[in-house]
Amino acid sequence: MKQYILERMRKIVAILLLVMGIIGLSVALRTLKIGTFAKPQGGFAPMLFSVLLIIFSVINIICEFLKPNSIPGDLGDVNWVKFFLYIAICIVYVALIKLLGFATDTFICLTLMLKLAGLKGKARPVLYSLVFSALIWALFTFAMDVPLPRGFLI
Amino acid sequence: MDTLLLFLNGFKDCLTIVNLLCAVTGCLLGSLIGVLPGLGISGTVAILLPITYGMTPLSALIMISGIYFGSQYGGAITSILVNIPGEATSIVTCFDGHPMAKKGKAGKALSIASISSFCGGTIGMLGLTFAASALARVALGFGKVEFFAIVVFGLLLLTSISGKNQMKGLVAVCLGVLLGTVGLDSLYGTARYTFRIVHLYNGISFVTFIMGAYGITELISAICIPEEQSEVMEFRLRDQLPNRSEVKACWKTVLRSSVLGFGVGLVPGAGSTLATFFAYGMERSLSKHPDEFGTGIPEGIAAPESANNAAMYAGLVPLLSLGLPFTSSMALLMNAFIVHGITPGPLFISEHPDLFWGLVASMFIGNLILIVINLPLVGMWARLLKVDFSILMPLITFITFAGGYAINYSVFDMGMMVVCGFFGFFLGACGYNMAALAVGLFLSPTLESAFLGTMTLYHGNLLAALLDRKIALVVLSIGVITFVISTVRSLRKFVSETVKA
Repeated sequence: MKQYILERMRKIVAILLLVMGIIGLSVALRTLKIGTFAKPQGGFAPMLFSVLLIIFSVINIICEFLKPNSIPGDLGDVNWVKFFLYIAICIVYVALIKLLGFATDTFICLTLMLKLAGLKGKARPVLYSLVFSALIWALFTFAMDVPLPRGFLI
Repeated sequence: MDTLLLFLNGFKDCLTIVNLLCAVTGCLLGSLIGVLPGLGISGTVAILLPITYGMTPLSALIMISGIYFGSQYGGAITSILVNIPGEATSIVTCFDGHPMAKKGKAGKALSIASISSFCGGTIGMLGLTFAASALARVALGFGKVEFFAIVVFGLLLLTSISGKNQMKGLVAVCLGVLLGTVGLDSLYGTARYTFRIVHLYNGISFVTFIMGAYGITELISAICIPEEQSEVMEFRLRDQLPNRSEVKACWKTVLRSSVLGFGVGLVPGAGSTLATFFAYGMERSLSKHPDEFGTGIPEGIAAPESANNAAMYAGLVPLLSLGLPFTSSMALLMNAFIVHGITPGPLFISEHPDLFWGLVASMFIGNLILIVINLPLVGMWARLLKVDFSILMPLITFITFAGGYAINYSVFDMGMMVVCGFFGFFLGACGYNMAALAVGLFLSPTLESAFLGTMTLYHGNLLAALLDRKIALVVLSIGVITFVISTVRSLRKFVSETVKA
């Protein structure tokens, strides 16, 4: 299944881009004022760029379907478990940052990320994470005066 | 003769111990803060500006110049070492800078960037010194039609020079330009593609986008794809400096790119960014080995770095002669001047020659000190790549997130970075050029404003506009011809590959 999807990834992405163009055009036509060539309105440019995207995407899809299936680039070597865990940690980090506060959230997620990246041991990731999250927090808060998100912790 | 005397007088005023210390501090701080992803030149100058409040105007100008050039160099450092451009002007540096770092020549790549920046800056400064007023009038003669032609030329050239597949380049540019229309329309205030999400009313932030599409994507690759370690790095200073053959290969590139960069940099708005693409494209087309561009060759770094520094000086021409800042970093620089009681404008040069020449000299000194302090530091930056990736990459991820948050103090932007990183990873893997997408997004507002302005002015007749404005016609024609030639080549290659398969 994974092999099947990866081999068709170029086609899937090309079709997705066409879909984006179609969505862009339909939203522009339905919700925006287009105007005329002599007096273009706010929807004119989105409509024009969507049309161009659709035209080039169609040509691109034709080119992709003329080529034989193959796994693109480095996708064949990707550790997909790590990939989805990385994305999941990023999503959890962004989702919890207002609740936990920058420093705490960074400490937790950086520990997980260090483990994911392959740092060995149990104490080392926690220790590095503690030091680095405190350093990043201090750098942005004190040196650059950035009001980082504060949750019920810091 | 008078100009030369005033110029030398500016140097005399600048060369004091206090002013030199200010220059060193500015360059160091600018480089250090500029290295943090997301902050860019504007962010760095904004953060460090308060340090200069208590200083005399000249010392403050010298420190601000140091910060300005230092942060530009900081952007090149992240582009080369970790493939994360801090600014649009550093995108092209990634093309050859990062592959060179992967070959174990990070130090050499950084020193080429540093030396090229210095040369570009020096040539730009000479242009600023001797032709500021005259060039400012030329720049002001550019109207909407010329802007439109230049931006279209830039985008067409970009699809020709970036990546192997031109059609994918076109798709990426169109997608970038379409994404650039998200948010409130600048003419009528219409909300476009916002889907009632308040955070999208200001559009998709360019810096957020490149931090996601470049930064997060690069970090995903580093963590999730088992890669052979980069080749053994040389840390002796001698090995980090370009050798004779590299200097020979690069000096013409630096000269040509600096002159081109200064010329293109006069175009208000996106001049510096376009200058890097034009310089890279020109060097690739003039090269005897164009296929090696993008694989990590010195000319690929020298061209954009010298062009963007020369273009930065060109951006100062309308600022100092007319008081018109055309980019956010120039606006911030103008604000810094005003804070210190200096108001740039048409009378600035004649009424305050001491300050004008002091400023020009201070920029030269800032540029010189930058190379003096950065060449020995090249080894230190390059050694960063020797740090265990399982520590370095997660750490960069969270610094990138903090930098992304610091742009607008927005958690939404952090989420947007993850989304851009996720999609950027697949788009990049499938051969879509992320530089084309990013520059499309960056130039979208300029393109839209120029296009709509042209259509309104000429009652919807684009041909009449081009026939009326000859420069625009010439620029657009060159762009179209280059594009057609490149398309035909690409089509031939595609047909032969498909037939073989």
